[in-house]
Amino acid sequence: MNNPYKVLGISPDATDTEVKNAYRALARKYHPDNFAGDATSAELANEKMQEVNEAYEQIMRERKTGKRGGGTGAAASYADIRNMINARRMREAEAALARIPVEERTADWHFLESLVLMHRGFVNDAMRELEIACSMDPSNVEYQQAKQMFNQNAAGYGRNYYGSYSNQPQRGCDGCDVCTNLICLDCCCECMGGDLIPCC
Amino acid sequence: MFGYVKPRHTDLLVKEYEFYRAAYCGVCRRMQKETGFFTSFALSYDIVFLAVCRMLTTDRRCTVKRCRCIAHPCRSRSCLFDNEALSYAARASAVLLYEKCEDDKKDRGSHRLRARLLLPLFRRAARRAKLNFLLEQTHRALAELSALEEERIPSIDAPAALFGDLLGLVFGEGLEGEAYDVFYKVGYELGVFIYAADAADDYHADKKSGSYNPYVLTYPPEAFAGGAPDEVKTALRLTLANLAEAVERLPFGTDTALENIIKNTVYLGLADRVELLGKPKQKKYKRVHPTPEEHK
Repeated sequence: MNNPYKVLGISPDATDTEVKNAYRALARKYHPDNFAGDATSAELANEKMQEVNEAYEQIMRERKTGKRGGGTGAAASYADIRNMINARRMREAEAALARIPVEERTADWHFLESLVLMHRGFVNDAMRELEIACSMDPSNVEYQQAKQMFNQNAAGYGRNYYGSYSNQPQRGCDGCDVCTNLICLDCCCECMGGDLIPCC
Repeated sequence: MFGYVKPRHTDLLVKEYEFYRAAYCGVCRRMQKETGFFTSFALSYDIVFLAVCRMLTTDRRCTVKRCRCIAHPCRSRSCLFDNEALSYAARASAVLLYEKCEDDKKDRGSHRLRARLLLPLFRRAARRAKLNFLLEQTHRALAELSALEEERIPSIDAPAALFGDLLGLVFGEGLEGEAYDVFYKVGYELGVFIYAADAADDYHADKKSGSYNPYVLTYPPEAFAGGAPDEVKTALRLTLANLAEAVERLPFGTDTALENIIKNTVYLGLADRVELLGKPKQKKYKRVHPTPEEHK
């Protein structure tokens, strides 16, 4: 069979979401509803559809069992993985982390894994990994900071929301405070030796 | 679905609350018209939220009329008409109900009988909804989800992500380009939240019946004795923070009513829901007036 990634028109490094999106775009394009009343193109579309379905299922199966192509590269150092995460190359970082054998996993491994999981939105797993990292190396400041940041994010969301009507931009001066503003201005002028309103 | 996604109505303006209720009635009426009278009994707040969100993509003008209906025969209520989003939400709801019913049929337990009885009704409704593409894709997504649930993995994130994907599909269906991405993301985060919240609420029931629930596999019963433990709540708030980020990207334009309903739901309604997680159901959830500190 052809390369399933070629069928979907994506690179093997694509994230799961990208695979899904590409698959759905094609599935919509070749959906039989689009070809109602045209038998020959409907048949062609049907064939294409099957091919796309097979490719998608193959990719999903491969990803599940972790047999992705290029999964057996040399083990990367933690510094390299850190750089990958900083450059937002999350799939690469994830694969590199997975290649490190279980017995060699340090506190750093758990910390980086936590960052990758957080980026995927896997919050529960991310918090668990961070907890492990903190317990393996309780004196590390970076881990503690990350933990604090998680907690702040969780506690702080929506803190400054109270209906968008309450945070309308402040206007400069209106009928209510025009006199107050004039008196203030007068005080300022008097400080500098001038006078805006002679009577007070 | 589950009815988690409600605004905190005490903090809406009166006109916004009226609009929200009118949208609720509007979706209900569309369900009666488009997918069958009895499907409207299964209307949930989540679907109304879908309708309100999708109204951002349609022509914002809609007609409000006073109507009576079988649920409220004595007093007439405002009801929205003539908006494509209402119709879409009603049809998408039929698709979801049908798929959920199919899913329940495979379960063991009391849901099974109910699912069998309701299946013909929802099958017909889903066919009338004319969302073939969505029906196929949600079917595929749910199949992936049940395959994963079979494995009984102790972490909630992977199945929650699949459920999020399913809801993302529903939110994004029919949109293209950037609008699809924005709505997909909102649906996705909402799905992750709903899946986790539902699992936390069902902890005791699932413990008893032995059905799959990641929290049952990770936490002892003592942790869930007085509501969900703090770690679960913190994780849910982090999901909500992601949801808030997605919601900020919605195309609000100048419409403050829709914006407020949506943001109120996400920032206040769902936050209230997290507090109540895992606690026994109260008859009627009443909120006392917010304290001055909260008003800042």
